[in-house]
Amino acid sequence: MSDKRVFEMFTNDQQWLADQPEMDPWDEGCQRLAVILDERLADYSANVCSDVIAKERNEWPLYLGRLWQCLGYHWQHAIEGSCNGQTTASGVVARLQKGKGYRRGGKLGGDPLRDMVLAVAMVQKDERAPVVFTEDYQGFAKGLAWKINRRLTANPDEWWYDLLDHLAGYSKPKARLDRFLGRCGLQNWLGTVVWNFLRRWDLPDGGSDGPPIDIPDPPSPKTDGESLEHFKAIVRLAIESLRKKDRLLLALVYVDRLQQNEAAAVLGVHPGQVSRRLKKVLDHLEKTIKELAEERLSKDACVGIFEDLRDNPQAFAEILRAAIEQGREHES
Amino acid sequence: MNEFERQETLRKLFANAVNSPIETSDPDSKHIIDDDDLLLDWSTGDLAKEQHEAILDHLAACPSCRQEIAKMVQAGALVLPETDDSPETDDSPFVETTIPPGAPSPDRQRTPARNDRGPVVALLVVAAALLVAFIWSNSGGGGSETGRTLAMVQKELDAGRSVEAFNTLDELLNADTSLSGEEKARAIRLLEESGYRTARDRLANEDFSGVSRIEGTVAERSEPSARLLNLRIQAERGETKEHSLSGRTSLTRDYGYERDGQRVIKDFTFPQITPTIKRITKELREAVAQHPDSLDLRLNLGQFLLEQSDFARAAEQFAEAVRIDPSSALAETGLGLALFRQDKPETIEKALPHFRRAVELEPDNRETNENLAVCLMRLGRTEGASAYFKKGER
Repeated sequence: MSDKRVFEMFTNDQQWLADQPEMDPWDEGCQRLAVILDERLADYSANVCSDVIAKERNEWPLYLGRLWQCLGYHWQHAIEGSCNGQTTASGVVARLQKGKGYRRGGKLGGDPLRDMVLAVAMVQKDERAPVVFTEDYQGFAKGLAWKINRRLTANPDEWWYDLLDHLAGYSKPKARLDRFLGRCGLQNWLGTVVWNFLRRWDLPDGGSDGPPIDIPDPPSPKTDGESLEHFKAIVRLAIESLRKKDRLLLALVYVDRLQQNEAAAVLGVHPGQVSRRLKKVLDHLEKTIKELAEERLSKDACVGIFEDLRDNPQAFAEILRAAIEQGREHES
Repeated sequence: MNEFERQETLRKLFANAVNSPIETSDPDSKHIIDDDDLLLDWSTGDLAKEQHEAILDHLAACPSCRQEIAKMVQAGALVLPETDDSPETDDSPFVETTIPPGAPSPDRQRTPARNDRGPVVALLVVAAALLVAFIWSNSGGGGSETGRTLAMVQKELDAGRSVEAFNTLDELLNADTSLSGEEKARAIRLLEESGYRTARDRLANEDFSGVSRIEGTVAERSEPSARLLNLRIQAERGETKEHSLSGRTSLTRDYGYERDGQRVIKDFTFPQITPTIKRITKELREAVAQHPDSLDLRLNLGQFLLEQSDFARAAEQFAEAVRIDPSSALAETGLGLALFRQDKPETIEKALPHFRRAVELEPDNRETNENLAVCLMRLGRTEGASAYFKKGER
């Protein structure tokens, strides 16, 4: 890539880039920027590729273009977050090298510039890249495999080489790593990609994923059937009238057992809101169910139901589930 | 039934609900879990608000996607952006439909059919939660239950589960307005303790916004906590240690001195007063003014001034730290460093007893021994120095 073509690459982003102090005058700024990218490329390729990717190499423009794609993305975020709308490329690079970005939380899961060089090297079938990649990420992938299905960890080589093939496209025309844009580090990116890859991985038959969960047979409830049916309907009515987001919150926290800060991240709200909202929702439902139960059930029936639940909550859950299935059959 | 038993009961119920799948999702609908690119956009914060809302709608309606997303979040496979906005009070209505008092018998009044299982699981979950809550409130639960909850929280704390203790206390204090004065005071004390431990762990893990949130939560309810305030300021500085000085105590390795005590100036730069430095200095000074007897804050202000090459003021802070805790080797070392780095014969002479005291307090510490040796060398007392160099190398 000639200097002219490098400049063209920057020119596509001139609208926001030209406002940065170090880009003035434009030509000199582009020159400085090209030097920064080339230095990073030389440094990183020395560590992850078989040879340093120098200007003379055919692949140099490809690497430089992808590095700029990554740096430009984070630089724009840095500008958005700065008080005067100005930042320096070297400042952004220094922060990225620490694995920190500019979006909320800022943790990128690795240096995206270094990881971009590794990703391109993998797709370019560099000989050393898969060795570096394996050293860096096989442990992480195995950790995920353990959480997806323990049987995957029995013989990790079985899926690891298929995963490398999926990522780098050794036997396929498409390489998944070609779509790595450097918006985060490879670890964060791989988290999603590897998870889905392993989730779909065909395990050989046999064995099981951990011991079966022992669910006791539900004993007969003390409550009479009619009162119980009324009560289940009351609860269903109260729940189904809740906002969708509140139902999701309850499911994330109580069914899926997410920490409140994790549930907050899924919902895109401040963690402080989760605890308060959860309490409010439960209080509201408690109040609603109480009012409806008092209105529609006798005191004795209420007490019987509560005793059933207290003595065997799992059984109560089974009864509820059965009632819901019946309801679904009715609906369908 | 106390809060822990209540939570445990809920957990069992939910586990049962989850382990009894009801496959009613539309098999032809597109699952977000299968869309790597969408998940990556979510992870990097590149989703439009409408897209995020669409994801939440899908999760509310598709339990298989919701469970898989939850597993990914728990496993660290899906790292979602934090929301740093200040907490808002969500007072929006809970219900989409209102239930009139005179509505027909509920078993005949059914909301429109749903083609998903999400509300079903939530139904199990919340029904159980509410029933348990109902039992609790009908069984005369109250003050004594709160006492038991607090005792359980203390056990959690003793067992090192500070996050769980903190969350429980936060909920308890949010919810229960009928706490007695004594119970409330005890709950707040435990909240501060669990908050401090949780924030310290978060700081070590570079979860800086988490530290700020915890400090804010505690500050809402209790007297200002000096040690939490200290952790919050450390988080603002991007520090991962409670005391910045720890790990930066060596004259040779951290401050560029040769073993003979002469300074090697390699990368000398004038200290720059940036807006951030000004702000942190101001915050630290205000915090120290508010908590003059806080060892943590004195140590960190001293270190911050040392970092800015404001040695005389740093020495004042470390001298206060020594006054507050005469058994703190870190305070003695800080004072020694602040005096030594003034680079005058009289201040170096003054630094010596503090380096010596630090060795007395931590005789096996490599840095304290080496600092004393370097100081002795600088003062020309080479014979005494070698023993401490040897001790430091051991």
